[in-house]
Amino acid sequence: MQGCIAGKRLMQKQLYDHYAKKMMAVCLRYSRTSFEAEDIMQEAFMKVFENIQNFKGQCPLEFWIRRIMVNTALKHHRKMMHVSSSAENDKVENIPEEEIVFSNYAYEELLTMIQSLAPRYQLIFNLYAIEGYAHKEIAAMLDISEGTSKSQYSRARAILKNMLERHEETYNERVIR
Amino acid sequence: MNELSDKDQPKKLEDLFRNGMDEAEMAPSDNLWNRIEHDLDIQEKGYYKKQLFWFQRVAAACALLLLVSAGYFLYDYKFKHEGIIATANKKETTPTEIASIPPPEADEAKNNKPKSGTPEFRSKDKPVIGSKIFIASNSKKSAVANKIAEKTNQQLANTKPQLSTRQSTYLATAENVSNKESENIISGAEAATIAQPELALNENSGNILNTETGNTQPLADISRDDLLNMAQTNLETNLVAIDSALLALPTASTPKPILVAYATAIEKPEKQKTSRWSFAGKYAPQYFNQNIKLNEPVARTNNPSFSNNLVSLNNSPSSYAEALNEFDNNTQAGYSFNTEGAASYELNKHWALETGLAYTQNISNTNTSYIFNNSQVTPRYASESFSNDYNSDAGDNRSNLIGVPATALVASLSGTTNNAGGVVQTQPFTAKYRYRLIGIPVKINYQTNRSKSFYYASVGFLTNLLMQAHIISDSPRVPDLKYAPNADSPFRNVQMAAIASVGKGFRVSKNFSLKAGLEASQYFTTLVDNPLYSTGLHGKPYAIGIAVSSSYNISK
Repeated sequence: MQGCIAGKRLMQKQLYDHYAKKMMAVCLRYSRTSFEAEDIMQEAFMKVFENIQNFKGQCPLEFWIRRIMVNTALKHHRKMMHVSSSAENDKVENIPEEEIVFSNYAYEELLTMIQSLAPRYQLIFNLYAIEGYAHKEIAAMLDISEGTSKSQYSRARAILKNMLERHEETYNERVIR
Repeated sequence: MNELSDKDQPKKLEDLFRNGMDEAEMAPSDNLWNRIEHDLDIQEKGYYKKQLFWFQRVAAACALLLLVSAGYFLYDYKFKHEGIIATANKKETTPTEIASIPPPEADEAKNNKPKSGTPEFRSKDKPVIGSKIFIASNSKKSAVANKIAEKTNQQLANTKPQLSTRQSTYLATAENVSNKESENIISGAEAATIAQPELALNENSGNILNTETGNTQPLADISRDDLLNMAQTNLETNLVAIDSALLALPTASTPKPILVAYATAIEKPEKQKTSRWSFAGKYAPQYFNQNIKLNEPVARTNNPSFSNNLVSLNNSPSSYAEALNEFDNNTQAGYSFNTEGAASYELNKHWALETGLAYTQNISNTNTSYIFNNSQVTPRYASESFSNDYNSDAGDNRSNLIGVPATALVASLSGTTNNAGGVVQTQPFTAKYRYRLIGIPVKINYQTNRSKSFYYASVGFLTNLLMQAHIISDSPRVPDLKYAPNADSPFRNVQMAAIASVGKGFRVSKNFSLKAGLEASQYFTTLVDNPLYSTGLHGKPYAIGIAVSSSYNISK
């Protein structure tokens, strides 16, 4: 930490090495390609090194870095106009609340599903389901209404659920044969 | 409409993704760090640019300060100058006061005076004869004017030999003026100003000096206007004539007496003037701390993926750490000093600006028993070379490197991979790090009063150029290294410092005073040019010393 604050390249490299893999996973799920994810990560790590002296240890360093990654991803999305490309829809779709127990999926499979979502759905699903933000917070972050956040999350979830179901069916068919 | 709430969300799908994603790891491409490092380099350069910009602003502020003080000096000089004249006029003896109230005739004459004429020979609203004649007393210019006056005088004498009693004034010879008053007259211009009141013709004057004979003779009646007209009309012609006449004039010849205004009134008490300028010399032996700690945790990190200079030595970490520890523990301040020759300009009773030329020699000594073999001492560690090291490419720009046995500090500054030799323990020896700097200080000084004993304080900036960094070893195994202020030097060539001093002074005589006190300087930058590529923590150096100075005030 002190070395990074002092701008020691060695220390910066060590910090990067320690968190790069985890943060790459974070960036990947907010982007559509690995190139885009690396762009986000590059920008975010620069912010980390620029602002590390402001880190006061209120939370684990990993959370702090992760938050920077997420915020950078959001900024990236805004810049790329991904967010505005989705039509606003405040109506919450009626999703049947059935309990489905899915099998375990590999990270790559889940990532592919998330990356196949429309950018805003991807963003909101990540923020709500994985990062754990409330819809109110997401609405504030994306400058949308809470209803829109909920509605788009429902859509994203429905899409993912369909994907999973199709995947399950394909898998079962294969097993039966 | 059935709105979903956060609570109502089914958890299974979310759990699947959260568990699958939350702890996932994915390796980024290998060149991502290079990209980040590149951005960091750019940012760093921007930082140094910002720092440079800051220094430039300080330098600009100093220049502005000097300009303002120079302007103030000029203004003050002029003001003071005029002030003296005004005072002198005010303190003139009675005849001036009398003369300053011109009689009605004089006023009339003033109103009727010709508009044309040689501008140099006219003052604002007074007749000019007297004044120019008066100028004749003081300098080369005066000599010319003297001749002009003579000519004018002759013209007057030829055409109208006499002045009426009523319109006459006290006349004195140019000799009288020269002999009596020239010592007291500050300059021709002052004289002209001072002489103006005397030009008013004195009603009470009855005697006119015949300029040729020195005897008092009545002159023929002549109106004052006529007199002035004649004088001024002939002046231009006379100017040309005078030049040639001056050349032909025998040097030993006695100047002819001329018409001159009553001049005894010029006498004024001599005013003691103290100059605002003083010159000072200072000597300050000081304790200098280069503020470098090599054995900081950051320096000892043994990261196998990162082949920086010292961490990759083929030595056990203990001897390496011991060597760095030894440097940190055994580095002491050597005999350092600062000398300065300065010119000081007094702004007012308490405040003064000071600038000059300073020479500083800072020394640190290290008693050590470790030698870092094969330390790469040149070229300077550039970011490119660092990058090459990191990428384990064969150093493209290492062709000029010289591998020498060196001390821990030099090894830490080399910034290049040191693969062979490593740390060797040997007989204890002393390494002296000597830095010689020449700089320009700009300071503002405050002193309590002008009594015999006073206190002073000063703050300012010192911009130093590191003329030489010399690492002198008394071990035959470790060669001396010398860096000039160029790109090969790992040390920062331009170093700025804030300086502050406080102490007591004694006025030995009217012009001479001695001062003694404490002086401290804090450098704004590290000694090393680019500490990011060096091992250890590089702080900003500082020095504390005792300053002894003397200053001499130039009094007129």
